[in-house]
Amino acid sequence: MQSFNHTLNCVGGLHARPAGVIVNAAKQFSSDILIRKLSAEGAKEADAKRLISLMSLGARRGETITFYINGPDESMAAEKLQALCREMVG
Amino acid sequence: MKLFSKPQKTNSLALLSVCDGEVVSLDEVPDEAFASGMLGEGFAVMPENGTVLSPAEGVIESISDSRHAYAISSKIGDILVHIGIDSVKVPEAFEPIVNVGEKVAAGQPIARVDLGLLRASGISTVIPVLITDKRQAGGIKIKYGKAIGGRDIAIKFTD
Repeated sequence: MQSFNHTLNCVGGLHARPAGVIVNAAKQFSSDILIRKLSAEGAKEADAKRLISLMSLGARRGETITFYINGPDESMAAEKLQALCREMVG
Repeated sequence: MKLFSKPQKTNSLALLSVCDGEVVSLDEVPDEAFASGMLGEGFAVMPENGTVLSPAEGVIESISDSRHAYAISSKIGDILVHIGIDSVKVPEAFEPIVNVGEKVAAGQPIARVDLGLLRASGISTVIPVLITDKRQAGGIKIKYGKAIGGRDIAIKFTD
């Protein structure tokens, strides 16, 4: 299991475009990739390979999401997704 | 003759246009994320009025905070109705008329949008409709051109 945090800095939070970038990257790996958001209302989880699941997190700019990656290619997936998150501004 | 048209009964193998207007290719959407097909296959509607309808029977899975993006899970798969491009900046232009978790029929209104306000803000009013996670096997066939929202079929699934 690999996990890492990312604080969203895209305007509009995790809306269609940045969510799509994550989904497309996540789909390249066979590992299960789950994203969790903690907030005052409790925890929400999403399947990183499903766009509308990610969008339903309603993750806003400034909020932190945690990736949990579990499977045979988890290290590669974590590296790739972390790099993507760092680049993501739009 | 919109007055007399009723939402068409569709089987699970079609998506209806989500608005009165012109069904166009995703290529014509001025945003690479949609035009490239990265987010999924689908079509876009150049809307003629501000009532946006569900393209299929399903459940509203999410509505974006900025109220411009509607995710619907259906038999066909996950569907995203994204009203306008960069419309995340003008949430006041949108009024959802459904709630998350609500069942919707094909052709049922899901949102009202102030197209004039979007245009005045320099935002494209085009509405991409994407199948972001297709559960239905086979290909799709898109019918381009003028369509009546909630009545005319925009996508048919083929074997």
